[in-house]
Amino acid sequence: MLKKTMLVIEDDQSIQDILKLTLHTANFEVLQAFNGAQAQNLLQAAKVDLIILDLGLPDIDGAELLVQLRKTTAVPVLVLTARTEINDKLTLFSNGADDYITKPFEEAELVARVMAIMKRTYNVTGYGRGSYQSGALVINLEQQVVYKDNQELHLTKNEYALLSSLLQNPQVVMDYATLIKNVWGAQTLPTQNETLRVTTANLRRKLGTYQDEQYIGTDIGVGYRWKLDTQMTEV
Amino acid sequence: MVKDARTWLDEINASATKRGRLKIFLGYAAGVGKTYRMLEEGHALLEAGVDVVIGYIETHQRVETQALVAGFEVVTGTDHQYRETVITELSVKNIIVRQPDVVIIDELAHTNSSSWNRKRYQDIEEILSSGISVYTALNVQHLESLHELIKLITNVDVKETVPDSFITQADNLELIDIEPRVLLNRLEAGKIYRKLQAQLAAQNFFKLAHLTQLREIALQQVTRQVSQHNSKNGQQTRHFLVAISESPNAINAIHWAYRQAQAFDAPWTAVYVNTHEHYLPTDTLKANLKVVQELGGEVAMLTGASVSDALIQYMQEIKISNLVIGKHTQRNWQGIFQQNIEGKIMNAIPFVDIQIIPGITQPTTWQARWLPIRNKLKQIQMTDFVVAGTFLMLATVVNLMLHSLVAENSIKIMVYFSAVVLISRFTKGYVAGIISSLVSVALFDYLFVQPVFSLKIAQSYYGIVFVIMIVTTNIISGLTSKLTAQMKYSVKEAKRSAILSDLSTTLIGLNEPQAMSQKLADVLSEYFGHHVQIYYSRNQSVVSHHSQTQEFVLDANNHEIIQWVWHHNQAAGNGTETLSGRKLFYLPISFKQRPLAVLVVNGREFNYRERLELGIFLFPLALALDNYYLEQEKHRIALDNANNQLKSDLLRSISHDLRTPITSIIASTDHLLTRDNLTADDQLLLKNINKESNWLVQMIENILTITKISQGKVNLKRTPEVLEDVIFAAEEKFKWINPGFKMQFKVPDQLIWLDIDNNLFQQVLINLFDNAQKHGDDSQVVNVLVRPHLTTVDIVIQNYGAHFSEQQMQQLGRIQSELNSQKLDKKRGLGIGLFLCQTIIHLHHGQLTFSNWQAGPQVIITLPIKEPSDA
Repeated sequence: MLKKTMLVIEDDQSIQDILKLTLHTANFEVLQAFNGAQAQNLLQAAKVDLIILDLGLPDIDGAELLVQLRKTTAVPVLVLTARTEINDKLTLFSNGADDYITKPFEEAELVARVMAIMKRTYNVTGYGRGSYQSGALVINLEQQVVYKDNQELHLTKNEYALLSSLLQNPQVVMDYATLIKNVWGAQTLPTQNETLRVTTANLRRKLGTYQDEQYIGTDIGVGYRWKLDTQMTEV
Repeated sequence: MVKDARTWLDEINASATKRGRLKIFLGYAAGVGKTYRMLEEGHALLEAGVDVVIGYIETHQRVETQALVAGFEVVTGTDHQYRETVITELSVKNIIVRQPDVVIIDELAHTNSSSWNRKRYQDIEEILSSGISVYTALNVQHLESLHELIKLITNVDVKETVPDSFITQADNLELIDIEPRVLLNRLEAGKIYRKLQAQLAAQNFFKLAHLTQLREIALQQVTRQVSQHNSKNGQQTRHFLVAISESPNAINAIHWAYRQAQAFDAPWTAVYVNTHEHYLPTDTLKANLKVVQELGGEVAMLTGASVSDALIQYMQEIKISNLVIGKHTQRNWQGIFQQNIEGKIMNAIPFVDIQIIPGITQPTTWQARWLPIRNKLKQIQMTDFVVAGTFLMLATVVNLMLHSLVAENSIKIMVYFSAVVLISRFTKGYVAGIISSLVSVALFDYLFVQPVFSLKIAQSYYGIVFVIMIVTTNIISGLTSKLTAQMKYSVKEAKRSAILSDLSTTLIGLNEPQAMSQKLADVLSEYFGHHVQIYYSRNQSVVSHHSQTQEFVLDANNHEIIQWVWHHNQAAGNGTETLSGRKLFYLPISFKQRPLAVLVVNGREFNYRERLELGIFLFPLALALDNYYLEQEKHRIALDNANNQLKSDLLRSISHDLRTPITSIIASTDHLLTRDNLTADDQLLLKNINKESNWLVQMIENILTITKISQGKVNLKRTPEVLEDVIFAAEEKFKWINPGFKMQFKVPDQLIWLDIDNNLFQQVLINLFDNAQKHGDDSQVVNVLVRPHLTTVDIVIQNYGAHFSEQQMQQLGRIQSELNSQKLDKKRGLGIGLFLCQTIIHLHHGQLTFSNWQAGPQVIITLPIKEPSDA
């Protein structure tokens, strides 16, 4: 299989170095850009499968660069941010980011996020109809039933929609807006955000824990994330 | 009423901090309906879903009141044996155990027969601090500060008093007000309220007059508290000015202004405008001014030709909101010439409230009429008679010489005219002029009119001539003396104005207290001829003007006297009521009641006018000194702010710069840790680097947030969040840094919403998790419990470490102050982290408390619960 190529846009040399090392170890090709202009040039010259974008760049604000990139490319973008620098992470999503990771990050976390985005973006055909398994759960998309430890879970329509939406995008943050769209469709109300929280809370109570861990993770102020990996099972 | 209760409820929710809210129903006598009203509002709260109970109620066997008690849960009191009878007292313990939202407790002034606390208000204090709100009732005569006053009115010594501070801290004060007549009727009509009646009788409250006075006092009390609340909220303050005259009626206006100023908690000033040159204050005026000073008002003496002009000028300089004028209701013939003062003032200063207090014109006695004339006569001096005699003699000599030349008498009349004019010019006042005019007519008649050497007149037309002569000389004399007086007056005024304006401009130019004081000392010595010293600071700094003629003999204990004057802001020494035996006169120079310097004068006693003048001279120095100290203070604050700003900016930029290299260190060690060929030692070292770096990151985040908060840059970005989401998110984040961390958390059955700033609140939880893990046992297990209450929720974080000692808990309670005094806990990070937590929780109107549970220490975050908008 052809190696996937990452474009890392980051002005700090030592972070560039460590990212390159990490991504090489995870079997990716790495291109390095130290500012916005270099990034634009590299994107025109080479085929890139994923962009890792730092928000603090010398020549252009990273958030601004993200908007520009989205005009010309659909390549997924993972944003690197400092925790206090960014107050409104939601705008990142509406500007087209696929996920974000806060500095300082753990190597394992970074690799997990990258893999999750790659899987979601390039293995789309893997999902669709059939059965999926995650932790103690088995979900049958065709029959629209969920089993936990082989016992059927009784979920409401919205809870089911939320579960399948999260489950099909494991380990990636799903922001509130996307989840609301997936569950309730276009007819969104101002209080929908609160309804989503209630639905999630109820779903969480029904799912329980797996090896002392919650299934659904919270990225506070941004959205929810399916914490475990998901496997397709043969029907 | 329901609305009242709702507002109350909202307020309880809004300030969901620990302390309960206090509402006092204030009445002016027993029987006005406080208990009834309190129960009525309690019912409204019950309907709104608030948990209201009765802690203690006194219904006085009134049917209406008793009916209202139904529907409330009554918390059982404790019984005490008191002599023969058993008395049921309020049980603080039972109420606190019961934990209602609001408890109704009647008779705030009650003294307990046998309880832990001697007074009921102490019980209530305890209940309030346990987070329960209290409704209570009080009669105004039980207020400590009014005790004496009410004793005076009713002759009854009220034993049960409540300190004023307890009343002022009330969140609401509602006045229960009915007409005293209605109250009396009520009592007469209903024979059932025997106990009440007996009470009233005992308190000598039968009388309508007493009730009316008590009612007025109660009204004032409420007004004062409202206005104090308002002025605390930065509302514009009032300043009352009362214009007074020599009239004894002025005292009414003074009292009126005083009461108004009291009611509004405003300063007040009495002003007298002096329109005469040689003004001797009457005893009435002195008495009036004394009353003003006794009532705590300022006195201002103005000089000017017109009362209204002087007032307008004064009011334009000093911001006056209300003017009080005393006025005679009856107008006499003089009224035709009197200007309408209030009209003029209203035209000039449209935004001033003018109140006119009618006075009663007293019948004028002959003594009263004679008094001014006697005063005038007193002013005549011997020199005036010498001058008058000389001129009249000269005129007679000239006329005798003329008589031999011309027989025409009209010329002689002109000579006497001239003499009278000259006399008027060179004597004080017009009395000498009038007497001279009469004497000159007599002389003329005696010497030159047929029959000569007799006062008889042969031709009748001379009678007319004499009358004309008297009238004309009088008019001329009057005009001349007035003109002279005005000239002298304006010369002196001009001189004083020149000195004053020079003084003011010079003082502004000098920006140093010593030079300022020296300038004033020079001016005063020159103007009054006294020797003066000015102490411009408490530490004996002194400037003085040494004149050659007088020796300045310092009093023994000079320093102590100055300290006394400074401390009491009161004059002392020669001519005063304090230490009047001293040679020196000590006068504080103060501005807005704050002493800024002390003037010491060696010389003869000042007369009344000179004292007033002295005040005028001292004012520019007071102003200049006040201004100087104010500037100094501003400068100091500005410097402090600049320093703080610099510190914060430095911290911020350092923190930002540190973040990137630390990120790279963490990522590098992470990567190295994935290698297989590491020795155990390598692994340990790398893990330590990694751990310490993560700790640094946490520290930097804390510092950044603190600098932001201390610069006031933090606006909470509140969003509604579900409590469990918040806790899970923090747990996950914390686990990335500390993989060994184990959180025991049971999702609560109830879905709890908070209105919080996510970023800041995550920081709180992470800091608390970090502390709990660091100081826990090896299992690294941390319990998180959620305890919802009606309007608040407790988030309890427990670990299995050593219990907090008493001392530690005290220390933790003091973190805020310790941080300010830079006595940070030596255990790194603990101080700043907890300080940050406390600050953030307070911003969210919550509380952070430290205590112990069975197996270890615990931290409790208490936060207000948010109602979701679609609920």
